[in-house]
Amino acid sequence: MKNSCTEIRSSLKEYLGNKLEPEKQKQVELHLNECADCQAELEQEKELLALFENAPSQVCPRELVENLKAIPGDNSIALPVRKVSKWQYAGVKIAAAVAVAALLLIVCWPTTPVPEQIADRSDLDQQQIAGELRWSLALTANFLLEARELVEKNYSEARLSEIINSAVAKGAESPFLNLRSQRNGG
Amino acid sequence: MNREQFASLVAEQSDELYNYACYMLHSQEDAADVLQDTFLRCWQQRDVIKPGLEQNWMWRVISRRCLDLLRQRQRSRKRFQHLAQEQLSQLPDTSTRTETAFDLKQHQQQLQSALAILPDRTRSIMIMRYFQNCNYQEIASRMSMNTSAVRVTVLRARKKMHQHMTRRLAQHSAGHLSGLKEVTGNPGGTTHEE
Repeated sequence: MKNSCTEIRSSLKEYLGNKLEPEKQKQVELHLNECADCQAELEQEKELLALFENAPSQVCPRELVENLKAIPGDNSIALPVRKVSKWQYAGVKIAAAVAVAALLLIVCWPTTPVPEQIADRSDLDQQQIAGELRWSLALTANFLLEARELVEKNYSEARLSEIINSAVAKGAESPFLNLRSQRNGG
Repeated sequence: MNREQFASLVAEQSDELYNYACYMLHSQEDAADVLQDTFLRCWQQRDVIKPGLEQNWMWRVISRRCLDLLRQRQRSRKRFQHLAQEQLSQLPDTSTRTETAFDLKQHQQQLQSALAILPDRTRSIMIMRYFQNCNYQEIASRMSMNTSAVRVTVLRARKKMHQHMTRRLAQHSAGHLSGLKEVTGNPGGTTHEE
């Protein structure tokens, strides 16, 4: 019923002007006989129609009509300059300003560290590298000691001399030469 | 569109467009500017406008131009509403009606005051609906709106205008009655009781 009322009310102007299809016209009439609210709306519609009908229409001055008709032949006519308020695009201007400020902030944000920070970081790095080097050297020394014990346990002096001599014979510059000279010297 | 077609378009549409712009803008000068702007754009874009849709295109342009102009004035909306009556009274009577100038002015002011309470877009819709006798689809097309939205807007505006007119009539009656009391010198207003 509600939808029906809305539909009827929106076609009251056409109903009063007798511009609806006959069937629809009859339907509206029947509804109006039953519905007091729509009847009241009909009175409002009549009132509104009278308001517009009684008010005089403004007629375009003939001179203006002639000027309008002459537009195609007159190339000197420019589009009227619109007076733009300085606040008209204020929103856009503010948005643009904020965007530029944000961009500058992002670009100029101090992501690269200042010299003091570099020095601090360098010290830290140096300490870390030194620690790692010490640890590596200790590991290497330990490994060498273990290797020496292993060699002495499994290889006789004669066997070691044989290996070293064969390496020398091959012409390889073996680090063992130094070892041999040391051992020979010791 | 050639020159002849353009001239016939001017002849057909200029009165309706001018009337619409006058009632929207409350100013003949602004209405003439907007009208000239609209026809000039129409001619400049004649190759872009689809044949047969010129009228619709023009209504779209002029309604948008009027709304743009009103938006610029919106900061001084109260002043504008106040001025509406004065400006309207300056409009010369260009109609060929037989009523006296006083009656026509009264009717015009009634309509203007009822339209002035509506938002700009709603006023545009009501002028198209009741002055140009457009149906809902035509208005929706001109205003780039949904048909059902136009329908609802018209129903609400009708109610609002009716309330305004009723209130105005009551005020007018009250003013008239108080004036009568002053003339008769009877503050009680019971002239026939004695």
